[in-house]
Amino acid sequence: MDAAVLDVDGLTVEIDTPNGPLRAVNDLSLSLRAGRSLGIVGESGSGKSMTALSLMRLLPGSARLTANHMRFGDEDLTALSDPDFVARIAGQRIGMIFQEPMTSLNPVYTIGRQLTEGPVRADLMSKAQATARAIEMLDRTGLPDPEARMRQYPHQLSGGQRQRVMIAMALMTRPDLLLADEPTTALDVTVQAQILDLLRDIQRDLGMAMILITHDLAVVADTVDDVVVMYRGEIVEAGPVDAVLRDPCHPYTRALLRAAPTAFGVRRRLGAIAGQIAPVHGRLNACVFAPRCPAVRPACRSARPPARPGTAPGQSYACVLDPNEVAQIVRAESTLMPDSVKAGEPVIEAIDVRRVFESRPGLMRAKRSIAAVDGVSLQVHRGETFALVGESGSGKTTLSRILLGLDAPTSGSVRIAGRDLTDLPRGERGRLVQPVFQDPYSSLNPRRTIGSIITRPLAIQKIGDAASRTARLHAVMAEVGLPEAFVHNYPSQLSGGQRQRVAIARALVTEPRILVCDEPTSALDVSVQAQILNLLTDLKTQLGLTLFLVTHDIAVVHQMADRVAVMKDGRIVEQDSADRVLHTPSDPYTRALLEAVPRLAEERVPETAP
Amino acid sequence: MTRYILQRLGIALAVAVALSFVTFMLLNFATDPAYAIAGEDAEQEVIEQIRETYGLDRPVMVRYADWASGMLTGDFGESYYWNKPVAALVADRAPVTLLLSVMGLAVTILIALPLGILAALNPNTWIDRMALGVAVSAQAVPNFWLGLIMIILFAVTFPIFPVSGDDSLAHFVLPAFVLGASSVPAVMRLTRTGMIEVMESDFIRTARAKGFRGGDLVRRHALRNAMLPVISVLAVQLGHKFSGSVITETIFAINGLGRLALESILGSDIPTVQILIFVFAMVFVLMNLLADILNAALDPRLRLG
Repeated sequence: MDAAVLDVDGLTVEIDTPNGPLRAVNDLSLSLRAGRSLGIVGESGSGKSMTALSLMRLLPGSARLTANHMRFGDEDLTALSDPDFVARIAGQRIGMIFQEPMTSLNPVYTIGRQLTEGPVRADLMSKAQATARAIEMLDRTGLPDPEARMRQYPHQLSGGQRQRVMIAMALMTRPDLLLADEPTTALDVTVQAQILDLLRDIQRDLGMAMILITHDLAVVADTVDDVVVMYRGEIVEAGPVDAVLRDPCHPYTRALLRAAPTAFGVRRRLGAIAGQIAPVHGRLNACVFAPRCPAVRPACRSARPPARPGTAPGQSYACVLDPNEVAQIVRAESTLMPDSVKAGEPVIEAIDVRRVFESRPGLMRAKRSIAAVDGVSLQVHRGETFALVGESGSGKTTLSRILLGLDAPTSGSVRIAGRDLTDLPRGERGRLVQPVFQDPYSSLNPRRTIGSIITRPLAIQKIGDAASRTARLHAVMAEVGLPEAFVHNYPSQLSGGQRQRVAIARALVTEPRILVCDEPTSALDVSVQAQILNLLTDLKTQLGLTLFLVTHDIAVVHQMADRVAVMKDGRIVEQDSADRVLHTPSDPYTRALLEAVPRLAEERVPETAP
Repeated sequence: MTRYILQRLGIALAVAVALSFVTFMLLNFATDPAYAIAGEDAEQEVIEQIRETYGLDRPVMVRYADWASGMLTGDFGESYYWNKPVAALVADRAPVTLLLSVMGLAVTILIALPLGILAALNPNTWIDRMALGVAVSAQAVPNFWLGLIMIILFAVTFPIFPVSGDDSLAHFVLPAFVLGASSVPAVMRLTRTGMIEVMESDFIRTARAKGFRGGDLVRRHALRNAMLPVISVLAVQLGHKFSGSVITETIFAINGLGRLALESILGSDIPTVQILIFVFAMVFVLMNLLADILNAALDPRLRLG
């Protein structure tokens, strides 16, 4: 057995906040052998990124780190001074890549300079050696024509290419450990699949250790050997990735797996985890998951459960319950979806819609025109959920803006409820179609109260009086599951999931017939996404809504959609029932898209008999 | 790059033509040049006489064409007040103002950039607050008052520098400081904001992960990015220095364009005034052109599109 490359014991990170010290990581221990890969999985606020930043000494200035030891090879990182760490470890024996390839490279210097400067400065290589190594590494990461890339600037490369450059850069010195912090989260799904394959292959070829940090369980499934699941700064479960995903022992892991929609298999109601993740201030003498655990016992609130062996060899989890007890209590939700309303007459009809954007790159250059939407025709029927799927730049958001009347087509026509959009007065259009946008952090006016945000459409359209608006406000808040007490709060006082409920309530207040939801859950954590997707499903049934769902996420499509249109380069390449498109795709692009989706194989999803 | 420069040059040329037109029209519509030459209590006949002599009875477009084509051949017109060619007047005074403005800009750069960078690297510390204090006081103090205080302090109480005049380089130190101080707040704040933004950017985190820290990190990865917006503002500030020289040159009795402008205005010398307005405006145009070229040289996104 190889010696441990990394052995961390009792890592604790506290961050000073106005509300007192926030414990981002608490008493975390992990070890990683040479040539092995470890996934750290968790939702936002779990402490997974803080763990990686601790290893690289990139914590913010307000953070304090303590640990019993952090052994890296023959060094103890806790005993190393900052100059020593920078001179010997950072960028040499530990390499790191980040989430945002678009902004992680310096825009004003060439790729070549950025690749070579680290090793040259550390006197590990001569300029010529470094250049040769850089070309070799760019080639290894699959970038065509590496010599030419060396002279290029970051803005001349796509996101996927830039992430390859980042990987090549981290590997220049053949580090013992590679830290990858959400390396594919910002990338399109087809590119994500390529980058994950590349990381796995390179890690195995070079025999280096790798830590892959992600919020997405499916991403670790095929990429790493072992996984730890973090929640509120602590490891709740650890073990070989197959064992943990197939037989999760901790209630949180189990709940998380059931909250994630899958792109394949039987559609089931998502097991949303009630509540939301709350930061830990000071020492917590209780199980971190107790506030949201469906199986919580009094003992869970008075002591931290110690780690104990799980069902598979090497698996461990921190819970007072036995694995089979957990499986009994955290049951699968019904596999049947609520009956959807029988689809009726067409409510949205787009006929040969084109939207051309013209730009002039310079005063004296010729105009360039780009067809963002290039001859799209589609029909959405009353009561159905219609999903428009595509990668970034496919034109799906432009099309949804046209349907909302926020943008006008260059040619072609759109009919809403049988009437041409151009003949529809704004007020009437607003009572037919309403939007729900992606980012609930920026789509709500921070200076208005929740009550005022939700009733704003009524005020603008002069519907009803004060009393009837208040009554409608309370009704719609109840519908979306918002406590009445929130009426006087401001958006900043609410969590992401609650804010998205506010956005949905605001959309519903005028009783529209159609909701256009543009990536409604992609800014949310998995457990919260499940709450919102379930809510949308329920609302659709209760209110007979038509949902027009714009998304890049195949799993969300599989979970929600009755019919699907796949969009690429402004055109719809395939349009049919969701069942047909997801199971027997006919277009090569759809097939590529589906193949790229990281899979939690169906048998890995824990099921109990209904 | 060549294409980019040619394009910017074309824009600058177009702006220059528009500027000359606006300057000429403003002065010839807002005032009656004949009145200005004749003086306040002149008889109507005298005014008519002057109109004829100076060709002011011709249509305004004709006069503009005349004036503009004259400029192309280096004929800037004749000053009524100084009885000299305007070109000679401007050529005589311009070097002094140019020297003053460049020294003023140097003062701005030497104070504002280090302060801004230091403040950005130590946000919310005493260094940051001190820098902010400097900026606020420099902003609050009027130029003419600072000029007088500097004279009292460094020319009278401690006679280190001469009080006024433009005979030696030492004469320019106090006026350059006064002129430069007025731009410190804007430039310092922009440097600070730009630097803070850059230091929080993802590519700085990447550089830190590669082992760059401290001064190395700032010099090799942050500075060039943080300077991009500052360069454009510095260019505009040099333009302000030129037009700001009207006050400073008057206080320090420096015979530059600023004083020429003041005296020409007082003497209702429209040919000189309109050339000076045009020259001051052209400084902005040329400096913006220079800033565009410099930015393109530093930022490949502009250069390569």
